[in-house]
Amino acid sequence: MKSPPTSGRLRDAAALLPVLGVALLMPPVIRIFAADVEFAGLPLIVIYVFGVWLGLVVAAALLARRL
Amino acid sequence: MRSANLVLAIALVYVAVLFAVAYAGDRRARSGRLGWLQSPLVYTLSISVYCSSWTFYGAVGSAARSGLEFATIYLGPTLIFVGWWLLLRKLVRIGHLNGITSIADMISSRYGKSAPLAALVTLISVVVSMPYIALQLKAITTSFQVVGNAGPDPLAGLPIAGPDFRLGFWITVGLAIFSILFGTRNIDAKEQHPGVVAAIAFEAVVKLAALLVVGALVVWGIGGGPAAIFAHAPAELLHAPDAFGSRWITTTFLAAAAIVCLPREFHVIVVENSDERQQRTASWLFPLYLFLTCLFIVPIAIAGIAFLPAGSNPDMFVLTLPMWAGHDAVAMFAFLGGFSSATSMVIVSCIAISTMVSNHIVMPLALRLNWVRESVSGEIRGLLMSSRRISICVLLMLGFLYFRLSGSPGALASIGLIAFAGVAQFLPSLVGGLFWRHANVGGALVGLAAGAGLWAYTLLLPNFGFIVTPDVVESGLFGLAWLRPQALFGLNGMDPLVHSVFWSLGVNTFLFAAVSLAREPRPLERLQSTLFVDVFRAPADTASIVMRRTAPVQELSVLAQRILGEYEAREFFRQAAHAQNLAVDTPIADDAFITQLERKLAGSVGAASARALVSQVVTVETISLDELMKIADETQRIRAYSQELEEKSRQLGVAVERLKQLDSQKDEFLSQVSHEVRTPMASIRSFSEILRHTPDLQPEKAARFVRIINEESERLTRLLDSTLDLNMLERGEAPVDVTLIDPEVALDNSIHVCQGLVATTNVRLSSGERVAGVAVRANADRIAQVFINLISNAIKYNTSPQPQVQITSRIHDGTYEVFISDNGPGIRPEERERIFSKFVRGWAHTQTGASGAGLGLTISWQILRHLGGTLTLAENSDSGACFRVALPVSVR
Repeated sequence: MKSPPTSGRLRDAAALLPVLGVALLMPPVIRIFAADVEFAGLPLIVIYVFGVWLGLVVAAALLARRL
Repeated sequence: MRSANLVLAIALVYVAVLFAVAYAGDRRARSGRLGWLQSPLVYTLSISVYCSSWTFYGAVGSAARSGLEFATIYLGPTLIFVGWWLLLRKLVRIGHLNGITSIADMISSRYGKSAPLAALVTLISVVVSMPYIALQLKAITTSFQVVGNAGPDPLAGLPIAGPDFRLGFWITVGLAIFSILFGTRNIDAKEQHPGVVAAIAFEAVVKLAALLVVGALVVWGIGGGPAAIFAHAPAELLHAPDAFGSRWITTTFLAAAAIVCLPREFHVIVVENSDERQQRTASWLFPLYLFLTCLFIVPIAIAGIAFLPAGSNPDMFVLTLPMWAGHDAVAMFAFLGGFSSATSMVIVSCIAISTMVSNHIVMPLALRLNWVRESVSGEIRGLLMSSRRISICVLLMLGFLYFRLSGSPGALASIGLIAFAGVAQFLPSLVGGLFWRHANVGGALVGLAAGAGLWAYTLLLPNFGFIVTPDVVESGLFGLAWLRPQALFGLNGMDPLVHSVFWSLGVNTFLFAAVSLAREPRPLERLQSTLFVDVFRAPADTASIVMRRTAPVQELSVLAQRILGEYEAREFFRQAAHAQNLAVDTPIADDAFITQLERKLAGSVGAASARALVSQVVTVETISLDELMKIADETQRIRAYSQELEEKSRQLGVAVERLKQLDSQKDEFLSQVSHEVRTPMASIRSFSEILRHTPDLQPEKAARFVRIINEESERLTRLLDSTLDLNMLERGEAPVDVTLIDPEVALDNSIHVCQGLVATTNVRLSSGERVAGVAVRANADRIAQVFINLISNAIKYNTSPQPQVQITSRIHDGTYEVFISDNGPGIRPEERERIFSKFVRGWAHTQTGASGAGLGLTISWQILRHLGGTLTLAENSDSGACFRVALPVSVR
């Protein structure tokens, strides 16, 4: 699975993933989604936090497979 | 049909199962068939010891009180794990290479194996874990009473009679027995406990399954779907105005710090890790575990608020909701889940902290006070074992006492966060030590002590009113208002947690950096710093290269036996001797062996104690700073070397390009020479054949043929002479005697020679302005060759009806210049570039019939180049060509 030309970029991506997570989950970005809006009966903020969370898990899983 | 006895019976059966799992795990490990025990799944599940009863019960309580804030406790670790490549990978690699046994060992190893630092970290860990363990005991006891129907109003989750301390005590005893049985079975080279890991992995499955079952029951069984549940949510719960402010950031940060700084987390992540593959999987699987854990927390909290009687304890919703709904089996399962989360946390904490206490407090004291007799095999080993067992008991008893004294401490979440803020004090020293070369023991000690002190004063004291009188919190120590714990130095209006974290971690980090910068590190600190910071770059044997020690092998052997036990010590020495290719069982005590032995001992007693022990035996020790600097500069050197290589390869590329060009020029030259030679040769051959095969040829004709042959031969000779001449000039071999001459004399001679050519044509050869009394350094013959070539070209190729050639000379800016111009057809613009190249006949288009080899201008150009001058084609005005010969004027 390890291919030299891409592993450098993958490593950088692995290092930047938590940074992306911090940016999405910390104010001010998270405040955008704190609005009192509902989708299918679920508050937007709940969908957002758990959605980002799941996104991080999936991204980490994909990276871990190829790193 | 819940009754206290049934609950007790079920709990005991569960505990028996746990014992069986731990026993099976231990047996498997002993027989060497680790198999699934080392699988990434079991590793990940064991990390979930993070989710204690604070998670199981407290997360719902926190969600019921302050909405989504509970999620930060799990988002922090998620961020650390998805970024494992940055921090955790390095941490685990260092842990493996240095035989790290605990977080105290890690920090002290990094800072020159400092014993005081290890003791300080241990002390802070004990203080932090006391309320944390008390919290688990409280959670188990309360849940037991709630589910066992003790008390008049179990649904409220608060037994009126208060916690049953008798029950709490026996639970404590049970936990102590388990921890001692499986946590202190052996003092290993690697502080790993496969049995415990198996048990907590099992418990991790139980607690997650329990939470999911309760969640599913609440959402679909009680609430009627997610949307219906959220319809019950109080407006303020999820949309509090300041939900995503400083507290959100602080709790996320604390949780991220806690996942590496909590002694139990450090233990399962670093010490129990066996390979990087485990981490790779845990990097996403553990965040997924946390995600699933949190999935139903908000719905359960909303349902609890909506359906249970007002004033119910939110920390017990997980248990009381199934009871309220009449699902006794689910409630029982939830109880087991909570029981699992609390017991696994207590067990792993006890093992991790007791290891720290025995290695970093008992052991140094024993060494200093000579508690252990010299040269008794296994003596230290026995001391370690019993001190660990005793410290587990003491730790649990302290936790129980805390629980007993404090009665019912505040909400689970707040106690948990106090513990997090406490262990977060390790963060600057730990992370700074991994990435900052100049961090040293002074900074770590001062920062840690100040941070911990501030934490205790601003956060621990105000929350535990049974220790201090409330007026200290109200009006500050000694009545000094600026010393109020929750508004230190008059910093008002902040959340107490944020306030405390700001002061403690701020001062901690500042002092850590400032003192580190102010103090020069000792050699051993420098060595350890290199080993830690450059763990992926420094060679594996750095320590033994840099450290030079001598010790009698006999004494080393005695030392090893005292700690490792007789059998293991012998085995270790035998293998080392084997590795050194010796026939005997005693190795040579060289630098590498002593370093290896110290590392092995460190796996049992920690780096600081191992160093102290080895130092007792070592007679001479030096640390070569030069070697260390070399290794530290390795990266620098590699970078410089690669730059050098790049430059070299660039130069090679240029050279190759040039060689290719030269090669193709040579090919071109050869083919042109052959071509030039072929034409005269062809005519010589054909005429000589006619002469040979025609005996009766007319004499005049024969004479003409012979003349042609003669002319062609001469032409051939001239061509070959020119080629040789050019070749020698190009290679710089032409013998040119340079003397001080008057170029005007050479020019006059050349004009004179060319008058002969003019005689056969109607060309008017005239001299224009000329200078006199010039001297240049040149060779008169060569200069004349150039002039003759240029003048004869001008005459030969002049197709003008009234052909003229004019010669002028002058001195311009210290340069002697000769201009030879004609009014002929001139050089076509596209030819100007390559007029001085070989075999280029600039006048090929003139159809004059006069032919040359095309080497004259090239030779002239080369001659002038050799003499330090230039031959150029001057930018002429309208018609004809004008060549400019330039030579530097020599001062007489």
